Amino acid sequence: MASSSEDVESIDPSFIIFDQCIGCIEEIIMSEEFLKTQHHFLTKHCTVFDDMEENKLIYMDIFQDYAQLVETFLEQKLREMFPLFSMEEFVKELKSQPVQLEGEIFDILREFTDFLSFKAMMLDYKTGQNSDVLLLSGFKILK
Amino acid sequence: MVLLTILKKLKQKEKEMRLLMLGLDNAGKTTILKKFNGEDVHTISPTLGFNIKTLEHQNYQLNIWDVGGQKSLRSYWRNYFESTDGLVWVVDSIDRRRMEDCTKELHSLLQEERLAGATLLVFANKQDLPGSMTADEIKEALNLDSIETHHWRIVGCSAMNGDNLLSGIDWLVEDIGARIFTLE
Repeated sequence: MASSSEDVESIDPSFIIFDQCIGCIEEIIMSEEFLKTQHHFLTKHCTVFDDMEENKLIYMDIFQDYAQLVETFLEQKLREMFPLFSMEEFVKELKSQPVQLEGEIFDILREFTDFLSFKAMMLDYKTGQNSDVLLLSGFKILK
Repeated sequence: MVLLTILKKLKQKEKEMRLLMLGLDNAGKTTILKKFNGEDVHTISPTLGFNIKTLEHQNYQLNIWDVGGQKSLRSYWRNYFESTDGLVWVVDSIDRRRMEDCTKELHSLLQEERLAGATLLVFANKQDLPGSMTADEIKEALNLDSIETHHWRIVGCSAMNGDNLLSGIDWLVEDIGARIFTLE
């Protein structure tokens, strides 16, 4: 982290952009537009899910589509904010900065890769009735 | 899906391991999973989808995935390869008739790029049943000695009474642990 001013001068500019992107990811994930997109996806697919121990094979397809949706959304928004944004560069930076991966935002992003959290969220959606509550419950899982 | 895939891999630093259990149908994959998790193993029906168990073992969190092995389901196996640290191949040791099929499926998995870094544990299951092939016989039949691309070991076991499940998983976890977590 760049905490003092003399540090800032010696820091690679690509790192600063990286840092800004990280900050924006949080904004994007919390945005109403993202929540709407997420809500639409979950509503559309939740009826397929059953609260049984054994999972249907189709859950995995839906899960992978979901992760793809999240990533595409993020990439698109980051590109709007930073015209020079490249996912490839970003990931490269990510790999070389393991210390940076401690933040809450990474926990949130990692949630998107966790199948069991995804299944729980789908089941929440299926059993819930009120869409406001649904949005919140979807969010609770992400926390 | 570059970003999420990478994040998932970086997650391994938190002492997690992902194990993928595959094999022909009726080999006993789900029974092994449940027995290892201390559950009842007398009412298991053929798996048409997949099961996941998360359990603590040797200070690691093991995420074990068990996918149905019927012929029609095998084309879906590839959906589960990503980030696999250990492959558990389960063999029905009394099913001599399908040993050739079993060998073919295993060796085609070993060609998979996304499984390239995985340690292989072969469970020669059903050793408690009379007429079962020994682990050595299955090692020959599956041509395991030809494997040079993966760390591997074969362990004769019985999912029904739990024999050797622990020693097999222990070896697997140690091998993966030595490969992945020694850089810390």
